[in-house]
Amino acid sequence: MSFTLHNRARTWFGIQDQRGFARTMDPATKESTPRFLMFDAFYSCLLLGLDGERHGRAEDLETDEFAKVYPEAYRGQAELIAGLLVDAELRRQEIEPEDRESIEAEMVRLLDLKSSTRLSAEGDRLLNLYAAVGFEKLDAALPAPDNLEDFLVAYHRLWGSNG
Amino acid sequence: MQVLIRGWSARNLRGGLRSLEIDLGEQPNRWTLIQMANGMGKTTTMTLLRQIFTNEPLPPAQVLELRGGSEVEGNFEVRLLIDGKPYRLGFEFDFRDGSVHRYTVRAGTRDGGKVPGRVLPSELGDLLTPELARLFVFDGELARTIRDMKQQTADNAIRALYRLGQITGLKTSVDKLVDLEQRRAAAMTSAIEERGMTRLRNARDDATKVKRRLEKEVRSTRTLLDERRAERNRLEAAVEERLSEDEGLRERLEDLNRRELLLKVETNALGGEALALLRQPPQVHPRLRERLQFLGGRLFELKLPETISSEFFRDLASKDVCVCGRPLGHAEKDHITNHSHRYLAQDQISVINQMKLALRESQDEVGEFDAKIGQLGEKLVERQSLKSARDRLELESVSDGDDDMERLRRQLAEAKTEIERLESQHERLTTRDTHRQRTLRLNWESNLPMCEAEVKERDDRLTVASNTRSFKLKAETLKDLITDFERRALGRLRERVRVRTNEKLHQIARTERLEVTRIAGGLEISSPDTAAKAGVSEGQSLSVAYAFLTSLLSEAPYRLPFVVDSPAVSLDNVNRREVGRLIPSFFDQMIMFVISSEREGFADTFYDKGDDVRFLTVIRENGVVRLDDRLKVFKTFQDREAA
Repeated sequence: MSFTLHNRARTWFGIQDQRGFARTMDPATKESTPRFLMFDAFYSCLLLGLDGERHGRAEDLETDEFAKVYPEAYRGQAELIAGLLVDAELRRQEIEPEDRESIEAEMVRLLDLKSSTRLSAEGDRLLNLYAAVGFEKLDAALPAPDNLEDFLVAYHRLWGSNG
Repeated sequence: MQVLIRGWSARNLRGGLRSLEIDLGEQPNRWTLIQMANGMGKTTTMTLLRQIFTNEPLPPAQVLELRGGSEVEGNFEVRLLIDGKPYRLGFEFDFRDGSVHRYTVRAGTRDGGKVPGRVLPSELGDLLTPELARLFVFDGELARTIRDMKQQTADNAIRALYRLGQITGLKTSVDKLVDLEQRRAAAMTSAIEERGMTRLRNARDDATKVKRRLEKEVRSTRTLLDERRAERNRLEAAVEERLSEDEGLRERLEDLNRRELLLKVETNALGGEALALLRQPPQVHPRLRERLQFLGGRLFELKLPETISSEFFRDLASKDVCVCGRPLGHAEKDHITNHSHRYLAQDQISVINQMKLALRESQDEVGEFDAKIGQLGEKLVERQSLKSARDRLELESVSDGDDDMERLRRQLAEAKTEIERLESQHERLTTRDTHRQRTLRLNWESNLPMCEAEVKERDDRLTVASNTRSFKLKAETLKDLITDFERRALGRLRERVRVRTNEKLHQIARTERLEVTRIAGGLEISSPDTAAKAGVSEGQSLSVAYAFLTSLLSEAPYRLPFVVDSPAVSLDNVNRREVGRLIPSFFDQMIMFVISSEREGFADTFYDKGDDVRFLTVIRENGVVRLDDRLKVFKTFQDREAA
């Protein structure tokens, strides 16, 4: 697996030294402030992307991956994220809930126990594309915040406003 | 390694080769004397034997000249015994276009025998060059050229037989290694010579200078930043102090500080808790939770995952009978295998089950994210309110006519602006984030980590070029050593062959003693007590050539047959007897084409050698060629020229 950010996400999230909102952080209070991971940025975008029914563009992704596995803070979430991906793909392809054969075929296509993400190579690829389109939504809806608290409140509000 | 000739055949070739079969037996005699008249195809046979052993191409003009009649195809084949194993090498000629097809027939091989081309054991295949073939299928011309010091005939013979070419080949291998190293280095630099090295050294030094400048800039920016931050802190403290001088404001200020501190702690705690909840997808929004629950429900209703996995079907396809008891044929097995991939594999089933379990476990804790964000939102409102309160406090002081406060606030604002500028400058100088570097359009002359990478790359180029140059110089030294080794090896082999040649010459050339004084390209010959000998008769040349070749061939690591045409025709009777007595003992097999005039003094020395010798006479009578192996026929045969 390789997680790849949208090519404008680093600037938007103020990422510095693998940490979000770090560029505007007061050095005196840096240690006492919760650490927003690069993966948190990716994941925030991913959830927004998986809420929709379309993929982002591979050309909008950075050329290099920023991580290969889920960070420790996401232990136990791999199966749920895999489930959300399956759900998004079923909705995107308008597969009927009763279409057992197609649903099973999608699972065959997307899942792999041996991978740390529980996803096949194709599943991993789609995850990055959903995260890319999620970033586009985020960027269109919110001005780039300069601290974690403002981001969390604004992100939550965005989910509420998306119906 | 030993090579013996068991015979040859010719078909539809000119001269006496329209249909000729020379059979020397399964185990050939040590000596074979073949007597045939001139014009019966001796020269053609010798030429074809020489060519069939090598990979030398046959030009169409030569092929067309071989044509013996109206037939459009012809053939020449030689049968060999190589280390006891039978081989056949052949030419198939097409006289319509002058083309030739080579073939090899090997017994007991997987390819069933006949294969195109010359296919010999590799060691022998490499050895049999046209130069060597001229030695053992003896070319009379060689007897003349072997004495020409300007030609390399003698040296080439030694080189070919003792495979000195392999030592020369080592130099080619060294060149290839150097080339490989240079190509590898070329990926980083093209400079290998001293001038290029200077250029690379200067480039590295230039980058190092830039690095020093940037390091200095980083230091000064940090110092300025520290100073400005200290100034900001001092100004903030001064503002507070100024405010606290007013008793009414002081109390409000202290309250404000206390609340800000507490708010910061609470905000951090809530932010951390909310972030932890954000990392659980079902917490983020009810829609996500509902989707996961719906998916879990669908899987349950559709009975997915199946308890039967794709592995089950793949196992089933390997059985002869289905679980229902019906037999499984190839068609059924193929169908099951081809459709098994449509079913989830065991590990995929496991993922879905884990997913369903995770869903169940997460359902009890929903709504916490909403609650935390609600609390966090309140804190943000409070933060804004405290900030406004502080601004108001400061403005109240200013409006009360406090000029110092106004100055302090202005200075504080300037300090903050300057700090922002310096932080930005510091980031430009020090960021290692490659994406940030691109966004800010930085390069190695403006960013220290990029400059450090550039210095390292330039230093690496210099090191590689320097190593490559050193590698090349070492390779040249090695090649010189190889050349020296080759020269010494050739020198020692020349001397060894020269001594052996002279031993034989003393026995052969009894009428006038000859001696090889030097081998250097050719053979330098002298008579004892005289200087280098200029005039040498044809017979003497032949004696020298035989003595040289037998010395060479009989002591070489390869035992090759010796085929010779008219071996004694130019020798006087005394030398003939010595040649006949001495030379044949040096070879495992010797095939001699003789004419009737060579019987006396040469062929007759073989008459009493019993079973080791075979006498063949090729006779043409009334246009038909036949072979006679009786000694009495051999002794009495008179060819037209001799008669």
